Amino acid sequence: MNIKNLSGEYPQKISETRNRGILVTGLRLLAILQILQKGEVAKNEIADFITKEFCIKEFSKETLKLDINTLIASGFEIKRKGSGEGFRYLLNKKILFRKFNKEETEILRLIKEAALELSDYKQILFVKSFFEDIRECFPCDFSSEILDFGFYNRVNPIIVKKIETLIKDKKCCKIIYDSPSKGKREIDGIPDKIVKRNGKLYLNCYAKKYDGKITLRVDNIMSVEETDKIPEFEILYEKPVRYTVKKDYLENHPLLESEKIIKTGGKKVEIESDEEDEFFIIQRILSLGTNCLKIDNDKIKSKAAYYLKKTLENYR
Amino acid sequence: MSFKINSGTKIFDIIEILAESPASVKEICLKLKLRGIEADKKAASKYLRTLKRACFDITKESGCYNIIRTPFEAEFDEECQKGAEIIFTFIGYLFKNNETRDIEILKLKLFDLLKKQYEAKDKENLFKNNIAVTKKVSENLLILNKYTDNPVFELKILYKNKNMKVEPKEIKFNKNGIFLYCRNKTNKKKSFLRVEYINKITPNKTKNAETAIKKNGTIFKITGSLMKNYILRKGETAKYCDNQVLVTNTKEEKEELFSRLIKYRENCEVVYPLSDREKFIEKIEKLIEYYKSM
Repeated sequence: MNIKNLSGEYPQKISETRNRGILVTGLRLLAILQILQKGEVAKNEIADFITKEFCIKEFSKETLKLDINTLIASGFEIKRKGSGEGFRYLLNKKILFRKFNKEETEILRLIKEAALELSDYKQILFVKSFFEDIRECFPCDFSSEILDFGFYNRVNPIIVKKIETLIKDKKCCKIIYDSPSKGKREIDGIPDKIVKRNGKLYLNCYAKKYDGKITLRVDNIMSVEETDKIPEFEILYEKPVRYTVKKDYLENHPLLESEKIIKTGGKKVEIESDEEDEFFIIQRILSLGTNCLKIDNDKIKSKAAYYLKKTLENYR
Repeated sequence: MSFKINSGTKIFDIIEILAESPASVKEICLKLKLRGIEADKKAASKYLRTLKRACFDITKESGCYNIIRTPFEAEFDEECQKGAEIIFTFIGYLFKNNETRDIEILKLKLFDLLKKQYEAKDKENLFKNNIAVTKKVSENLLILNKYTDNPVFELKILYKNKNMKVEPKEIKFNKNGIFLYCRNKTNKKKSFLRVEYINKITPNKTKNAETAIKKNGTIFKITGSLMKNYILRKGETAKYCDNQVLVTNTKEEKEELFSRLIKYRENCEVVYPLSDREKFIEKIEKLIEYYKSM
């Protein structure tokens, strides 16, 4: 192989001095990685780079082959292209010579917790994607914890993107939903919005088959395809539900995203919830327990009591 | 197929050692030895010179070498970049007024990882945030973060001029502020304390790790559709048997746990210990009566 002598930039004496007392084979390996991360290269380009940038001249074609094998054996994903592509080498995976120590990982974990609570679902998915991309930088003992995004581990970002487009374009779609109770089923409907509740994502969808409205947990949606069906039903909006809660309870417990304070007086706070799904209103009422002083909706109140009686049957 | 490799791979061992934490030449030699590489001080210095020659930015502080920058620039797709920017925003929000070494190095490492994307921008601008917590909150967060969810420690704190002993459970972020969710050892109740009002944090080792882990939890059974949808929380373990899942929760305070379990309705049943089961039944009965009188 013809290795160019580009020592004009580094005169012979200086280059020799620069490389004296160093591990030349190690330097060559790092040099190869540096050029590979810039894109695919042929062997003679690698040789040129090593000579020009690092003033290493004493190496042969066989040495380069050995170096590349060494890098592959060390875990770097280097692909050799065929003769049609000039036997060029390509690096398949990012090189991240970075490692966060325990303390830094703990800080990043805290930041992740803040992001999970304070960011919207799109931002959370971006953070997840970033952490997954730099997963090698976390110490092994901590990587499972920092990469644990709870509910978001189960969410398929491609499906979320498809749903967002359909919502934006107000299009009808066919959803394959893996219902936890009823198994796989097809739902024709119009996606309305993605809502974050208790750290989970739900799709509010209008569908004729289900009395006009249905709530689907996003992680159970298996596929979404746009259809050209025209919706034949009238979209009905439920009135917001109001309930009164003890003031001291709210001092220590946050409001849900669907809730807003209507009135504060004495030791009570009146809340209005624009939650459209009755299931979640009842869940909220039940978890409030005796901290809920009044419910301005008899249907919700009696359903809550009914479900409690049903739960009690489990214990008898 | 087996092929020959050369001895230059030692350089990756030294990168890994330094990437984990700063180390002195003596420590480097010891760590190399653990990896089966015999190296004296002279050899270790040779490796460090090699890294510098390969454009690694290495600093020496208190006798320890640390990699500040590497010549490797990874490319990230748009989504990852957005994710990184959110992390930068949160660093700006939580640690803008905090110049501790841990935070500064973390910023440098993140910047180094993403420098290809942000080379044209000023590093400090990336972490800029107009809304930021105070220096005190930021400092408290770093200390509290070390002790939350660590059953071995309790904290002595001064909260709104009152001395308290607490068992820190979790840092909770909310639009209204940042809270320490803890168990107040004095009145044995759970509390949410605003991080900004916490002063004089003194950690106190109370138990050894073994006894701390032996804490018993509440076991509840989940059935039906909840079985598929339930996502285990921190401190929960699950066991599947006879078409039902038994979950053991050792972390949540009982009151908090029961308020959560009640909303799962007939799909959830508290099983063990019997005292918890009875308390839960009592809670349901009380609530049924309460709704009747409402």
